[in-house]
Amino acid sequence: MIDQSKMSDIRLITYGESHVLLKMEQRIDPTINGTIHRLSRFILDRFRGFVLSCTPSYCSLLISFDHSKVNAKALISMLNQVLQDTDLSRKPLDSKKYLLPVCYDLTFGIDLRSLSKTLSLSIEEIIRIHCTQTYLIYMKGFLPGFLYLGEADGRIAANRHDVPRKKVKQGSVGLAGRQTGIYPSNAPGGWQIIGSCPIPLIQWDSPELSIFNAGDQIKFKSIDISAHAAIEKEIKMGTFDFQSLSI
Amino acid sequence: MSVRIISTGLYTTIQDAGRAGYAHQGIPPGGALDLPSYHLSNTLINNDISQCALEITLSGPKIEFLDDHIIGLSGADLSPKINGEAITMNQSHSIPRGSVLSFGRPLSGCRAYLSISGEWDIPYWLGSVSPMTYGECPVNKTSILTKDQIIPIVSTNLRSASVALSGRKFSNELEVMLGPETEEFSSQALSTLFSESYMVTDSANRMGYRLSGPTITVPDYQLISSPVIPGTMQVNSQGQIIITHRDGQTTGGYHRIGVLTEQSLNDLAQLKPRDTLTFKSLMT
Repeated sequence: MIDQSKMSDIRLITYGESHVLLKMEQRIDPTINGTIHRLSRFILDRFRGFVLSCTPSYCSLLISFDHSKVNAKALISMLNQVLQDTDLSRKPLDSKKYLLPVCYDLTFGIDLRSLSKTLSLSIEEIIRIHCTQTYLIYMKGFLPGFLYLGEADGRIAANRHDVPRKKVKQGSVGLAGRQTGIYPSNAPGGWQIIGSCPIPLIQWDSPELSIFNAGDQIKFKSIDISAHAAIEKEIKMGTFDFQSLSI
Repeated sequence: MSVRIISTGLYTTIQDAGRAGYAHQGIPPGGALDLPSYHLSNTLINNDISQCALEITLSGPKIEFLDDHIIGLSGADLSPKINGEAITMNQSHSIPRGSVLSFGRPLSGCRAYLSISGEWDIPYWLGSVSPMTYGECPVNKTSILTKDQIIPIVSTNLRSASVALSGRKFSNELEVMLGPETEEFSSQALSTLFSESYMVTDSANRMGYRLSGPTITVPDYQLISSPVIPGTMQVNSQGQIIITHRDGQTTGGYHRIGVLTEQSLNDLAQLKPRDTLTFKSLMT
């Protein structure tokens, strides 16, 4: 992965007193993002002791370090040295794949009707296209638990609402440009809402916080409103088996 | 042993130093916005510096002490009073049972920290009591104060000695270090940043501070979303500065012209809407 030709794409930049930002070629691309995730795990493991955490994003990696033990300049030179001598291409990325249920009923998919007109697609086609693709979780962030998912099919690319809604419900599944995503909590937002996913993206009382990690893959499957209610109930009662989402 | 919240004031929360290391889950560090003032409030009453304290914003709460306590106040001077009598900032005070602490006009700064002797019996989440703006963070119910809330406090250590320390001086000249995109701004944009003065707008809270002032020309290309740390100065498409604070979003899509030093991030927490500020370059 990090062969010598790729090394030249990596830039290490001082970011405040206790962070370094590693930037690769600035492009949304699964291969570049895969390298970011490999680097994240490698750096955390190799520099345990100075490096406190790594936060991956599309094509950059935020490295947080203990500035009582090392300064940015020294860390950058160590990273440069180590990354030169390391071949990460054989490090597996043990990513998981999940099938997430989404109810596209018009009760939840409040923008489906108008979207069907603007996209000149039937509601069924929008749902089918949304469920066909496999989406890579490029990164997490923005709101607690939010997943930045890989690009949606161009046929369902939709403009954001000109005036964002004051409150979009937790679990709402939305489209914005080539992005698709799930609202992890009630929040203001301008995405076109096409359904609801009953699976919480963040489990506030679990030490793992979330079963979804950057680098994993997601696919959606359409469920009806009674199946949605049944899953919601199981989640509320704490009996839902999150591992059953794994495929 | 406990205290009762008679009224909450503008926005009063229970804070500690926050929870670092969860940005990869979209969880900001949070914690007291002016950390040294928070630490000082604990030092005043001989509490462990990591003990929780109240963060009080501009217009203070009214609090009844249901037992004898020792308190310490540091940070902004919001005219604190015990039973209507003014008390001194940056000093410990013995508070007899039944007393009421209230606040008046803000005289300096924006956020005061109130420490109360003893262990506060309140829930933690991921090692911190700090509440979060978005999501159903389990500690929000207890750590964002509500009217008539009782904060249970156990094992009070009632030392009688009075301690006074000098409080922190707040600066409105904020020091800026290199940000990830600093070099992509024109030298004219950087000279505007460091020569002009800026004003805090009404959109200033624990998540971030929006400033208004001379327009800064932004580099002419879209940025791909990337991690953002507290203190980061992003310039939006209108050329205005937004500084992320400790409860801010963990990712951002605007160019990052610089990042405040930790010290200046604490100073920013003491600025309120319509205050003016300048920036000093520490870029080398």
